[in-house]
Amino acid sequence: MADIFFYISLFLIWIMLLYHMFLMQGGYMHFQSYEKDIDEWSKKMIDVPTVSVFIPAHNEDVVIEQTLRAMSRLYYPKDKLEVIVINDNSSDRTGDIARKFTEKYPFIRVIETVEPYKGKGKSSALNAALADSTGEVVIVYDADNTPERMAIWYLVMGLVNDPKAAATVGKFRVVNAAETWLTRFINIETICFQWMAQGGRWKWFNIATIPGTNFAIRRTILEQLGGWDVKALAEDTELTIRVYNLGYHIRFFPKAITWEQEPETLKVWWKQRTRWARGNQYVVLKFLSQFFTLKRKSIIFDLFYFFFTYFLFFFGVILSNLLFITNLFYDIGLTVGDIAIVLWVLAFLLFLGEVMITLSIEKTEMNRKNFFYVILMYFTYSQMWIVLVIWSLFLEIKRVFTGQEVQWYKTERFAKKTK
Amino acid sequence: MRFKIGILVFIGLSYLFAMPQHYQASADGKDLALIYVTSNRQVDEEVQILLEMLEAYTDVDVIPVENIQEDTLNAYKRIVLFNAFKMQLPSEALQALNKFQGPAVAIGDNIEQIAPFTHWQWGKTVELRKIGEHTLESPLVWNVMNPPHEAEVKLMASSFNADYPFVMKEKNSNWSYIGKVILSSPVIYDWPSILGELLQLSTPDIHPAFIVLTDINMETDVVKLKKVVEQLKHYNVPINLQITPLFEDDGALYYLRNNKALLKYLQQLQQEGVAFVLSSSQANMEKSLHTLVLSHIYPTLVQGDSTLFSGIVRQQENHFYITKNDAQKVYPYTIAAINDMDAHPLYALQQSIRNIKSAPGSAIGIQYPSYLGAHHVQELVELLNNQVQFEWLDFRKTEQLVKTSKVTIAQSANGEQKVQLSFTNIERLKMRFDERPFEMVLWLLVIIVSLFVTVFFMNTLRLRVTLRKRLFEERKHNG
Repeated sequence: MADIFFYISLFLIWIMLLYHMFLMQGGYMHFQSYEKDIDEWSKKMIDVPTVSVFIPAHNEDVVIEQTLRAMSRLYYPKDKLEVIVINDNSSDRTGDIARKFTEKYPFIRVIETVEPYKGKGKSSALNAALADSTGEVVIVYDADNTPERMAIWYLVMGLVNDPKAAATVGKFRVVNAAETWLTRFINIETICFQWMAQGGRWKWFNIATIPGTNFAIRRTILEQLGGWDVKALAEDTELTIRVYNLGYHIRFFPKAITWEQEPETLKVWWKQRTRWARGNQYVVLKFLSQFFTLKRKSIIFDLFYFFFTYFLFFFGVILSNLLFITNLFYDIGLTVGDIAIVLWVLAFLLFLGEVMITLSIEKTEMNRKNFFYVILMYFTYSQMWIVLVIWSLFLEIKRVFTGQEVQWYKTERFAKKTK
Repeated sequence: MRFKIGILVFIGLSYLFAMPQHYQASADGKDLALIYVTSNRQVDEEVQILLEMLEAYTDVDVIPVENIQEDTLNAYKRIVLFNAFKMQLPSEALQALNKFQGPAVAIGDNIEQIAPFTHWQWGKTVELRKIGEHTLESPLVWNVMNPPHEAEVKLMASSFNADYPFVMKEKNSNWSYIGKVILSSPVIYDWPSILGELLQLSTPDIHPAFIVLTDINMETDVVKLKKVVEQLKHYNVPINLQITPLFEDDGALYYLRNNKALLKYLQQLQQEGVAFVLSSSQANMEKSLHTLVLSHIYPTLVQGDSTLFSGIVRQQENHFYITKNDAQKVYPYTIAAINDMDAHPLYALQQSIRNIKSAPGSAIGIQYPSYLGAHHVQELVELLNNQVQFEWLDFRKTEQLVKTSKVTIAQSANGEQKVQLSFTNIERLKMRFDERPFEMVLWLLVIIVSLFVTVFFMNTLRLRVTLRKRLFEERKHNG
């Protein structure tokens, strides 16, 4: 019986690892090829579409100034650009700071959310801005983001040159990576995620997920979809699925870069990631019943990937850990021999290889310090995710059974320390 | 090359033994002729058992009465005429029998046709309840033979109300008579000594004895097994292990290999010179052997029947002598099993030993299930030492040959084993796959993932080398 459990856990874990390995190779291939078309694509960037940049902001006075400073420097015809700070029920100086920028930069404006959008979370705020804007392309940035000068230019370039793309997704980097051990881990995690999951899926299946920030989407599509789902905690994932189901795809174009702040304390990280995990679990459960009625097969596959990640994979990991611990104290009759150890070592090496290759793609990330962080990460940060996913699942199940209202958690920002 | 020649010689000799020599009169060397009268001229179970008993004393040829010529019996010192079928004996055979001067025993029907018995009278048919002191389990219908008064009665048989001479010797004659060879316990154990006495044969006084540790399979507790083995070693008992390399349960096959600790211990015992007996179903015999051999354990005997082995260990009712059967030597389990659930677990075994020691030279073959642990070893050995004269038989010190299309194991009397395996790598791989399909898939996975990991590290290296040649547009820090 122990052997059966072992093989089940092994299967669940290694299906995931193999898929990620496959994605990693795709991500690397995408890195090698994604810049090749830029010269050709630039030729079409003459009569560029109008753009509305949405910055949902709820009590963001710590970061909004640097964000708007970065927005003011964006490379895009200013007569075709509007930057909208959606001041959503802020009780701090967010509005005041933003309004100062409107005086200096006419393409920046502030809107205050009103009922029924007011204080309901990010999706509601975005819907409010959608109703109060005209840009042919909508671009979203979180309030802590400082995009590179060319970021929205590249995002739009992706859409102009790809009529089947409903959205273009750029790359985000961690601005406060060096602040704490946690931000170092997150930095490594985000770099790896983007090249592996975003780049890899785009390369192999033409699939990318809309992140919460640094993406452009056609207004026509948004309107057709009725805007953002206000119930969704992971509004970006949810939107992704609806976009694909409409018959479009989402392009991952890492040339468009933004910098964002990540949680510097465990408490903030826990709350933010719990929201993400719950949000993704919500999406899986929402679309589970529609698995086989969705129009695009590739997104079914992707949904299954989410399902596997948040339900089966973690079940496999937990089962494996339980077997390991039980076997330490009691002979449960596991007959699997050396191969188990070989696979364990190989899983670690695979993790190391995957992370190192993605770090090496970036300019300064593959250094000695990060190398040791990667090793440490396998045994610490990665394991924290197990606990987090279980907790999130518990909360989500509880929500389903109790009909509890979803509460949006706004990620706490940190004052800039890095010089 | 010498080994190959050795094998050929061995096979050749085995073939000679396998020839129907039992059924032909031999010109020289043989001491005793067992002449049988059966309805189909074939050696039946009774003849076979009789043969085994007689072979414990001397060399025996088995001859159908129809093959007896006038001078056939000249080469023999003794004869036994076994009549299992009532018929007119061929005249040439009768002449030869009447002419025979050595000790002779006639059993069953047709004896009135032989000269010394012509004046004996057949009596009524009775139901015998006892033979000698032994009560029969079921009554035996028997036609009473009334000897003349001068005949010496060796053994009486009884019905409910009368006694009858059952084994007799004709006075002033070389002939003796046995009413019937009864093959039921415990009477059966008396026949060897009765036959020995009537035929004036010298009696072997030592019993070959062996203990086989049975029920060793994937589920065996290696610690328990170790204790039994150590205990047996302590009493200088040769270790013979009966292994089941794969067994089927609910359609699933379980392999010995899956118990790594046990396998390691058995491999160690193989090195130490322990003998292994293969236990397997007929369907999986070859596969079981190959599996074991590839685990570096070389069984030289088999439990049950298999033509792949020259040595067989088995339990068969009424067989208690080590015998040669065609090209195979059969080592019988003759002693009752230890019953761990009983208040006196060795009681039945003790009874068996009492019976078996009545049959001179008979084998003491004991199965000792390994799951019993070492509790009974001391008692068992002491029991044997106190009750019977015996000599341990070490299977590892017997000549054995095991042969399949892929495996040859030749064991010589000094315990040396020569093993030849001719598995191709693909066959080995296939067997590993059959045994552990999941594990093989996992090794395949290891290969694939290792390749990818290598590619990833090479890509990492390439990215590091080309780092300075690449253009990075993004700033180092947020501006």
